[in-house]
Amino acid sequence: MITDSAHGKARIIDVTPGRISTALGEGAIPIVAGFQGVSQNGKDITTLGRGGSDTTAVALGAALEADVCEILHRRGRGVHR
Amino acid sequence: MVREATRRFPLLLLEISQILLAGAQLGASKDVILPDNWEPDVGADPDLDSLRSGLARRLADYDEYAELFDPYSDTGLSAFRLSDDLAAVAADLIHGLQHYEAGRSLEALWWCSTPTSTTGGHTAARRCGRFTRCWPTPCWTCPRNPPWPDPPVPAALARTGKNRGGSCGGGRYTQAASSRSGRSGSPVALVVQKYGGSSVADADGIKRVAQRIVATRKAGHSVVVVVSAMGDTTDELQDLAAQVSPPAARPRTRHAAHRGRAHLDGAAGHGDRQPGPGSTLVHRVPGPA
Repeated sequence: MITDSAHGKARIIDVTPGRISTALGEGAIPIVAGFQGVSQNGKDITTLGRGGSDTTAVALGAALEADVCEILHRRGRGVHR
Repeated sequence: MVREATRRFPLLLLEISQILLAGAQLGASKDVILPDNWEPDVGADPDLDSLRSGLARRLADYDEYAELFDPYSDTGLSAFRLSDDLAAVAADLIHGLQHYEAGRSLEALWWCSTPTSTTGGHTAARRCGRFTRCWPTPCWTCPRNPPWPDPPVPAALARTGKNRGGSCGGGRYTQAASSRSGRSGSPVALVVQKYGGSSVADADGIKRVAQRIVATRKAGHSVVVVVSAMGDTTDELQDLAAQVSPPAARPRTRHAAHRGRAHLDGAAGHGDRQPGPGSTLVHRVPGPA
């Protein structure tokens, strides 16, 4: 998850899910920590800001060309697709 | 016990209906969206543990219910409690009231609006529907009448067109599953599942999440999982950071979990507005809480 340098409110610039694709190819279930990325310039850890894990999931879904992206909440119990 | 429940359910239904009515009278029946989905901090969340435990005591055996997280792909049920839901509604209404008392009407409406993703109205609306459907006509979603059979398999239900009868939910359930039968029939999908912090806040939650992931995998799909920090960890870390460096320099991020959901809805349309696919439920299924 490559982002700009606005820590705490970073915007995603690019998603390079090669490692995840490899793991999927091996039949694994990759588990990704949401909410965070790496800045393009300094390679610092950045955070995406409020709702950032949802952003991670959607960005990853788009980059992987996923068929379904589900956002699940315990309290709201909503499933977004 | 059944007589007890028939006394309590209509009263609860009435109370919840009044919450919804109040929301409608406030003009909150229309979607209320805050600019940038951002709200000023109103301080600490109210402590409603006594309310929660009181409700749990009164609802007794009828407190716990089981719900399909997602009827399209889940084959197992998760346990939830009406007392948790009602306390959550109360907490959100109090949250809205705090905004109102601080002179922020729009933010107050945001927390009370009925059709939106805001938990107060949303959860209240869903509970209301639940009570309406479960009372007074006993049917298959009601407590022990009849005992819940093996875990439901929506796709199979959709294929056979089997309706378990009763007045509440069976038909809808089948219909909902049917509408997806085309997709569920497809061999392998790549599924990204994101679990919110409250989903993984404790060991039971993590187990439920793990079971759901495994079930999706066993259904033949490829799964990528995105997880948030456990519970309120992000908030706690940011609060900690605020104590180290001046809070004026950082955005206010309390209640980030709630706003996160609204933020998502802002980004992805209004996906959480409907009761959603998780609306199938059965009361009091024996099994792990």
